[in-house]
Amino acid sequence: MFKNLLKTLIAGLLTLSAANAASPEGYKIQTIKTPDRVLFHVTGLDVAKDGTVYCATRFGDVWALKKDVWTHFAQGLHEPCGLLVDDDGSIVVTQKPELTRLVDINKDGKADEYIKVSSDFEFHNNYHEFNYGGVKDNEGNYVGALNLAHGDPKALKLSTMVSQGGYRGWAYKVTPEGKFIPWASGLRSPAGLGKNPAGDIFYTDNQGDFVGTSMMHQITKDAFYGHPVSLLDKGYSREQIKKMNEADWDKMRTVPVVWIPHGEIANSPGNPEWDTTKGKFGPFKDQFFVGDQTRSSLFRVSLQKIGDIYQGVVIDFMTGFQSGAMRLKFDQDGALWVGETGRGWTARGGKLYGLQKVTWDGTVPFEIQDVKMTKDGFKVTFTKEIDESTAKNFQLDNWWYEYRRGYGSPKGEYGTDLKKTVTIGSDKKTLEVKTDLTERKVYGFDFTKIKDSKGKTLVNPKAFYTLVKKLK
Amino acid sequence: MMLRITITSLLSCLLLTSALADQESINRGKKIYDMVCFACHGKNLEGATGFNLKDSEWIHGNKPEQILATIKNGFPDKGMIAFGAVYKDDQLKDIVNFILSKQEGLRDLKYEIYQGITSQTKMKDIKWDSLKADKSGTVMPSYVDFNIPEVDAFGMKFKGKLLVPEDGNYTLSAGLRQNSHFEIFIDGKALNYKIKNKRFNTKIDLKKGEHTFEARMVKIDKYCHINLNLKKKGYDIPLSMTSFRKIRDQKVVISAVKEPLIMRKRIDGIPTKTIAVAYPEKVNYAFNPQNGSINAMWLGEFLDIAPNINGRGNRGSVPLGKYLFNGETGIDLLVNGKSPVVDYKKYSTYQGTTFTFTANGKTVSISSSIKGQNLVLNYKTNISDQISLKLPAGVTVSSKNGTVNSGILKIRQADNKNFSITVAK
Repeated sequence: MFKNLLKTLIAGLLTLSAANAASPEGYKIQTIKTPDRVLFHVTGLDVAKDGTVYCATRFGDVWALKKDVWTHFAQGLHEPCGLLVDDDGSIVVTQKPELTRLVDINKDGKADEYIKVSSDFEFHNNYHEFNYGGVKDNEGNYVGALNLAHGDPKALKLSTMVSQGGYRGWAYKVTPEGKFIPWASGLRSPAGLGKNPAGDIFYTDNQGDFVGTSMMHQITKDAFYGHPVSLLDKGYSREQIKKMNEADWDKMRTVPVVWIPHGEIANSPGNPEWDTTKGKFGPFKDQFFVGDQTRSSLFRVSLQKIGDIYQGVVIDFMTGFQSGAMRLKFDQDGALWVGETGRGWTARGGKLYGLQKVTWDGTVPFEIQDVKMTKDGFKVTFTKEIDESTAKNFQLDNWWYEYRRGYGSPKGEYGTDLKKTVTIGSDKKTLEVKTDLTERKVYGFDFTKIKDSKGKTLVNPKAFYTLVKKLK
Repeated sequence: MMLRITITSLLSCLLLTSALADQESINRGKKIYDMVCFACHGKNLEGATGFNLKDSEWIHGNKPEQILATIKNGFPDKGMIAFGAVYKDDQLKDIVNFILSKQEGLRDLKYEIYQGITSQTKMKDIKWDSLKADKSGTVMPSYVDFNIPEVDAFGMKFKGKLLVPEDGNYTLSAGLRQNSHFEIFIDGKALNYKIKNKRFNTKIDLKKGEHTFEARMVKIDKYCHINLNLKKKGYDIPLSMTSFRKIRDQKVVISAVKEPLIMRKRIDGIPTKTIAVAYPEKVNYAFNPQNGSINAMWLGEFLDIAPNINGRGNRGSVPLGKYLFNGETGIDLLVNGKSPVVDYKKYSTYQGTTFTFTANGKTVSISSSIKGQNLVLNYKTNISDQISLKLPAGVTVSSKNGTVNSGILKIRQADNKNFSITVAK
C-alpha cells in the first residue's frame, strides 16, 4: 500500500462549481485533486512562504502541494489535528500523543526527523482525545488544545464528555524550548484555533454537555470556559468536583466571545482564520472565517472589543462544500483553502474527505458587512446600498443559552420582535438600530425582506450578535 | 448483553404508520433529520457512529413508539442525546415517520434447511414448497446466509419480505461460489439470469414498498459465501451476510514495502504513545518512548489499522502476527541495575531507523536493522556506568558485547559506547 503512497503524485486542479450552494456572488469553490488512493481527511493545513500547501491528514500523513505536484512529506503520525509551517521551514504537528517537529534533513522533500517538542500531557488512547494546534502566538509559543475523552470508564464523568486528567479539556502553550504551560481550562471539544493580528488566540468549541450551542472564546491565561471535568487539573479532586453543581461552575466560567446558533450557523466548528488578504478575498477584511464540519459550510465572525473583552457577530457565508470544513488557510493569492473531513461525524457534503479552495472574482456580493454594538443599539452595515423602502422591514429577537450538563440548550429567555427604531445612513448602506440592550443576550437579526437597490435579497440574511458587555 | 428486540412486526408497524403518516409529516421529519440526526446516523440513514436506521437491526426496538422513546429519551451514555429536551413530541413523531419511510432490504427472513439434497440433484426436480425442513428458523439480522448449516450437502431456502425504498429499475448483482443451483424469486416470479464465472447481474423494475422475496440454493462448492446486492443510483442494499460484512469490516492492512515504516497508532496489546516499526522482511517491533524499552515484537504482517481509522476510530489497530513479547516493557535498559529516568527526544529515518532519548541525562540511541528474520538493535550511549538489558521471555537475545545470565544481558563496560544485540524468535 505504501509503495503507492510514497510515490510523488502529479496533481491537477479540477475546478468544479459548487452545486446548489448558498454562495455569495463572486465566490467560487474549486476542488483540489488529492493523491490517488489516499485517505485525505485534512485536519491540519498551512501555506509556506513559497506557496507550498501542507496538509496533515487523520490517516497520519503530511502531504505537500507545490506547483500542482503532491509530495508525501511525512507518515505514521497518530491522527494529527493541527499543522503549521514554522519560521525555519520545519513542520510542527499536534498529533494525539505529542507536539512534534518534522524536519527534512537531507532536503529530499521528505521528513527525516520526528522530534518531540512536548508530550507533557496525558493521552489515554481514547479516540476523542484529539490534540488541536496549528497556531503560534506572537511570542513564538505553540498553542494547542486537548479534547476531552468520551466513553472512558476510568475517567471522571458528570455528563457526556469525560477526563482522567492530564490536562484534557485544557488549552496549552509550549515555549520554543519545549516547556509545556497549561493555559486555560473548561474546554470541551475545541476543534479549531486561530489568532487575530494583535496575537490574541481564539478557539471554537462544539455544542454538547455544558456547551449550550457551539461557541468561540478568546484563550486567556487561567480562564475556565465551562466544562467542569477539566478542573481535575486545577487542584480539584473527583469528589470535590462531584459535590459541585452548575451554579458553582457558572460563577467560575467565562462566557464566549460569540455563541454560534446550532443548526443555523454551525454544529461543529473548526478553526477561525483571519482575513489577512487585504481585500483580495472580498469586502470582509479584518474578520474571521470559520468552517463547520457538519454543515460543510463557512461562516464569518466579526469582533468588537469592549474594554478588555471581545464580543461580536456571527454571519453565515457559504455552503455546498463536498465534506466537513475543518481547516481554513489563506494563501498568498488571497484564496481560502478548506481542509475537509467527514469521517466519524458525518458531514452534509456527503464525501468523506477532501481539499477545496474558495476564490473571489472581484464581484461584490450583497451581504451583511458587519454589525457593531453602539451605546443604544446596533449599527448594521451592508456591502451594497439597500432599497430604503425595505430597510425597516426586519425582525430583531434576543435569547440566551442555558448553562447545564444536558446536551446543548434550546434558546431560552426569548424576546420576540423587539421594539426598535431604525434610521438609514446617508450612504444607504448602514442602519442605526436603537433598541434596549441587555447584557448576556444574543441579538438575532433577520433581514430576509431587505433588498438592495436592484431588488436582490441577501444570500445570508441573518446576523447573531452576542452581547456580553454594554458600552459605557 | 446487548438488548435486542426481535423483529416480529416491523411491517405491520410500517403499514400502520404509512397509513397514518402523511407525506407532510415525513417531509417535516426529513428537515430535522437532515439538520441534526444525519451527523451520527449518516446522510442516507446508513449509519456512522450512530446505528444504521434503515436496515433490520433495531437495538432499542423497531416499533414506532419504541423509536419515538429512543429519540426522546436518548441513551446519553452511548452518545445518543435525549432530543425530548430540544423538540416537541409532534416533531419527534415526524422524525419517526421519516425514518420508517426510508426502510430498505430484507425483513422477517425465515430459512429452511433440507438435508439429503446434493449437487447431483437437479434444481427443477426439487419440490421446494412441499419439502419437510430438517431445520428452520428466522435469521437476525435479516441477511441471506448459506453458511448457517454445518453439513456438507444441503438445500436451503430463505423466504421473507423485501422493502424497496423507491420506485425504479434495480440491478440485482450476485457473486457466488458456484455456477448453478441458485434461484431468486421476487413477488413469486423467478428472476431470469444466467450465472457466468460464478456471478450475475440482472435488472428488475420494483415499486417502492413491500415485496416477497425467496432465495434457494443447493450447496456445490466447499464454501457458501455469497455476495448479493440490490443496486440503483444512490442505493446499494446488501441482501446477504457477506455483503453486509463487507460494508462493516473492511481491513486496512499497512505493510512496509521497500523500507522500514514507523507508525504511531492505538495498537492492541501495547500502551499508549508506543511507536511501532515494520520491516519489509515482516519483522515488526515497538519502542516505548515513556521508558526507552523495546516493548513488543511480532513476525508477519504489520498492522490492520481499520479499527483505528474507520468511523471514529475508537478501537485499537490489530497486529497481524502473534506477539513474541508485548507490554509496557520488554527489552529494558538498566543503568547500574536500575531503570533510568528516560526523556524521549526523537526518531529519525534517514540513516536507518533510530530512536533517541536520554537516560539519567545521558544520550542513548537505538538503531534497528534486520538479519534474516532476526531483529538487530544497535545501542550507542555516552553512559559510563554499568549498562545491562533486562530481557523478555519469548525471544532469544544474543550479543558479542556481553553475557546473558538469568534474563539479564550485562554489557562489557568497554563496549558502552556502541553495542548490538540480536533478537530471534
